Amino acid sequence: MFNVLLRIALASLQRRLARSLLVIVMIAMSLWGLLAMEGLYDGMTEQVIDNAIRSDSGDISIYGQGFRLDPGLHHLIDNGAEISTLLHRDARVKSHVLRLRQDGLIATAHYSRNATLMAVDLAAEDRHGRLASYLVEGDYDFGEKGRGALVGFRLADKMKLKVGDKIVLSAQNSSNEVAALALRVSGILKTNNMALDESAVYIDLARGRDMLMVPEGVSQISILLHDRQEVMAVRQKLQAELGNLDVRSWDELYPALMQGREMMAIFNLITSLLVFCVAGLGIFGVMLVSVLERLREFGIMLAIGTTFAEIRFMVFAESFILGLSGYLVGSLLGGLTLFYFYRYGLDLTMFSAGLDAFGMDTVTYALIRPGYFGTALAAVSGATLLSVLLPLRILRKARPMQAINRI
Amino acid sequence: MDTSFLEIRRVGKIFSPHQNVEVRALSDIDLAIRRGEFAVLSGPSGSGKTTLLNIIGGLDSASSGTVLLDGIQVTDLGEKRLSALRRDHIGFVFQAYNLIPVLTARENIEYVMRLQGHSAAACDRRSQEVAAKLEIAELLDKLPNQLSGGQQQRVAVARAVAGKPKLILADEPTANLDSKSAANLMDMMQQLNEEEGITIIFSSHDPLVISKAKHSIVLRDGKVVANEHLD
Amino acid sequence: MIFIHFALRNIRAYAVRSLVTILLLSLTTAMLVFATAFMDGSHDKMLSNAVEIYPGYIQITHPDFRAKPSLDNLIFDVEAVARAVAATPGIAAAAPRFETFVLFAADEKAVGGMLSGIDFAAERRLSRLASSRTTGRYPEDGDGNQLYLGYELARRLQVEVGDELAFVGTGADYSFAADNLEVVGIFRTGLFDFDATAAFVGKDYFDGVMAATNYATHFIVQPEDPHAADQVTAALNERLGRHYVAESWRTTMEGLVQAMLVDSIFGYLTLAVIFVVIFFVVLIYTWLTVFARMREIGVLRAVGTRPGQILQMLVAESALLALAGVVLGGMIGAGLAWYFHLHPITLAMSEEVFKQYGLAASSMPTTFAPLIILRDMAMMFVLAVLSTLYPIIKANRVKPIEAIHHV
Repeated sequence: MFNVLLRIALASLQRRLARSLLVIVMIAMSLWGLLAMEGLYDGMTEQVIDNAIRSDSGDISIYGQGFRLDPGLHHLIDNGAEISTLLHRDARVKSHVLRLRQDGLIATAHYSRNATLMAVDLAAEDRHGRLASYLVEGDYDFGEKGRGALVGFRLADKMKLKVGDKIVLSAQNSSNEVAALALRVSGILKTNNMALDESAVYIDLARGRDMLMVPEGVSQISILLHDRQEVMAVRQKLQAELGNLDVRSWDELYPALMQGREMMAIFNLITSLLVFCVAGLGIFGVMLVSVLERLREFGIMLAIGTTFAEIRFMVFAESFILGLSGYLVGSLLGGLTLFYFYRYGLDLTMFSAGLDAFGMDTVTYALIRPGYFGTALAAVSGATLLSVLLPLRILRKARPMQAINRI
Repeated sequence: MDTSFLEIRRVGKIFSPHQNVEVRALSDIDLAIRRGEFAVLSGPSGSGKTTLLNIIGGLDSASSGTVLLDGIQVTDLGEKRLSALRRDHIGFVFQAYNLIPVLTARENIEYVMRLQGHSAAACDRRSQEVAAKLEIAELLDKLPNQLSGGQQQRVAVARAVAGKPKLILADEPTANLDSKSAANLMDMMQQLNEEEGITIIFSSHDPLVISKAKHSIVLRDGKVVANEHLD
Repeated sequence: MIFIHFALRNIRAYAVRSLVTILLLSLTTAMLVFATAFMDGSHDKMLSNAVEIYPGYIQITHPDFRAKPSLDNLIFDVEAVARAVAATPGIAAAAPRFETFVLFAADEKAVGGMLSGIDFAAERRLSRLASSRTTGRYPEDGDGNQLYLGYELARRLQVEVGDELAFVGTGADYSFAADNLEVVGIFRTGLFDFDATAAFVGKDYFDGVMAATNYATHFIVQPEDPHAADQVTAALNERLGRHYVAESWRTTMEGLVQAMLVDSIFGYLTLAVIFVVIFFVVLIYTWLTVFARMREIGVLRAVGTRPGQILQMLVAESALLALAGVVLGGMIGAGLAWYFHLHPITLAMSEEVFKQYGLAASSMPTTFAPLIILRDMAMMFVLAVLSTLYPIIKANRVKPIEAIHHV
């Protein structure tokens, strides 16, 4: 029986082919737009977060107690080696790096500017957050004698620095005296982490220790996990074990990025709701007319023994076939579009100045989350089913049996 | 003698609802209708009555042959000229009344005249006049769905007549009416035919209705099988 | 004309379609009008904030200064520039500034920052420095080594009003410059980066210690009408000749201007996705009503109505509906724009996000621009009528004989 009902449903859709196609195209277009938008916007948001995590915070960062409020050499972590061992033993930790940081001044013969001195181990940084991938000019290397420096691109731009230029870095050392170090720019980094691009000068860890007279301590230990879902658990464990230190997850260190992500999620939700409500209204109109113009037909079916439940099934089936076809076409188009942007990225180089101001990469790679398609399927099904409820009520009230004899 | 008011020469019509399928609805119809005639097309359903009326009125095109209406070759006209021809010279009455549902009886009647460009006053005068003849003066401000079938069909006839056409084509005008309303309607049409001098061609298979006509044409399988003047 | 009359009747007869169309179009128009007002308003506010807090609408510099901001590319004749500025009409205020980067050292801390010599009296009309004061006092002309310090910088240096600190820097003649400064006031503009780096002293004092008499890095010019900044800039350039160049905020803050553009583009793209669906639904409802009237159209054709006249009638119908929807929506949108123009929206939630991007704006008024609103309404009207054309034209192509027998 269901087969027959399905066949009738299909035939009805076919009889009004243009109209059915219109509804399918409508659903497909809205889904296409929504999927593309969602994937691209999420891609942008996650890219910004990813940059912050890779270049600075990791999934979790450990600081000396009081360092974040007052970043100085008297708030360092003294037992870095011990913590390293601890982290090596935790299977959930993918990698970690130790950094020594101090605010100071960068100067050339012509200009000077405030800078954040970052004393790091370049090889470890690259294994950790692929820091080398942010290099836009020069070499990812401090040179044989460790006299090189990597400079954030905005700082380089403001200081008019080129690879090979001489710079003098000065900062207060642990005995409160200003120490200076002459270096050469070996490379320029663009992390799109605005604070770093604006002020970071990376130098060799050993050299930094000499200059600042800090033989042991570190300012920050940045930790990456295999699975970002475990951030809270690992953080809690570390905080318990390292009670006197400040253990923070990335979203505590970059609350703005978390907020941005939440705002984006709300924004996407509102847009999707709106689109599906409007699309549902479109399906409703078509199903209502399609039910009303077939009153006689339904009357005859009822007269020869079809139950109302079967007719309801048929109407649901019709609506669902429309919805599902639209969903399939829209998902395919949306999926392909996202795949393209996932693979090749959306290149917005023409707006690079504006994107820099937002700390965004010029090429955005879309995300493709299975959830997009699942949610969309649920939304389309919901919209198709809800949109026939009223037509079915109207159909029931219209007493189709009596319509048989009407002209 | 005016024999050339409506001349139908060797008109044929072939439908092909699907490829490789051909239905010969009309073949080689030859007919002549004089001005002022009250003619009936009869025959069983499927004999081609509606098709022939539609071709005469320019609603449908003939596959072959020509139709001459008062010297104008209908079968040669483009869409625009056909619209003008129907507007100015032909009135239609359909089996299913086909009034415009959102317009009142008066507005339905005046519609064609408004298309023709008559003033509101002229339209009003004419609709009153026609409505009086068809005994629907009381009903002018009602919407079609407030009228009975017979009343609706009289409004439809009034609409066809109001624009003073030379020819009225009525396709089974009484098919949906009870016999009393049908007889009534036929009497009024006959009266219009006489008073206004309008040529009327209608189709029917109701013997009572057919008997009112002065010129009887019988179709069968798309061919004319009888063609006689009864006056 | 009879067709308008006819159209009105049909609007009443097909109430569901009319209602849905008007509803959707007013929703669309209200959304567009409000979104435009909100985007324009918040962008204007953010830009004007960013411009007015410190950078100013027009800057005059040495022609090479922007590319190479060295001590060789200063304004070496402040008097001459001041004369040219005074001779240019449309200028409310102007003053020279000398910005240089130095290392600030307090008891505990040394931090790099920007020390600028400014005309404190004139700055009251050029920037929001005076009104951004949080503690202490705003310095006056004639003060000596009195320092007006950014809030975040003060925090990093751990100094308060009344404390002393020293600076080390380079004078305009490349000489070594250093002195003690007394903090008399602390300001907080809300622009984090600015508050974390900037400090001001009187230009007279500055010129003395920095050997910068009659020198400046740039001139800030406040036009009487900020919207006329470009014209004033052009007039200035004519008067300044080849030795100096004036640039409006559109050039000096290009990144931010473009960032706002990017934001608008994404905003409109999102709206476009929603609008595509809405117009599809409008199209579908038009389709349903037009095809429901197929027989009627056939009859109209049969009694001699020309296709063009039927087109007129159907278009008049959708134009009337569109007009109603657009006017209603325009009024709602304009009402919202007007209300939020008077009662700006406060986005406490996104303050962190804005701060990160260097945008100090927590309350954002919408713009209320009747011309823009009318433009948006006109656009929606045209789109709405266009979206009904397809079914109308399609229905009108059907031959009268087919139309009459349409089921």
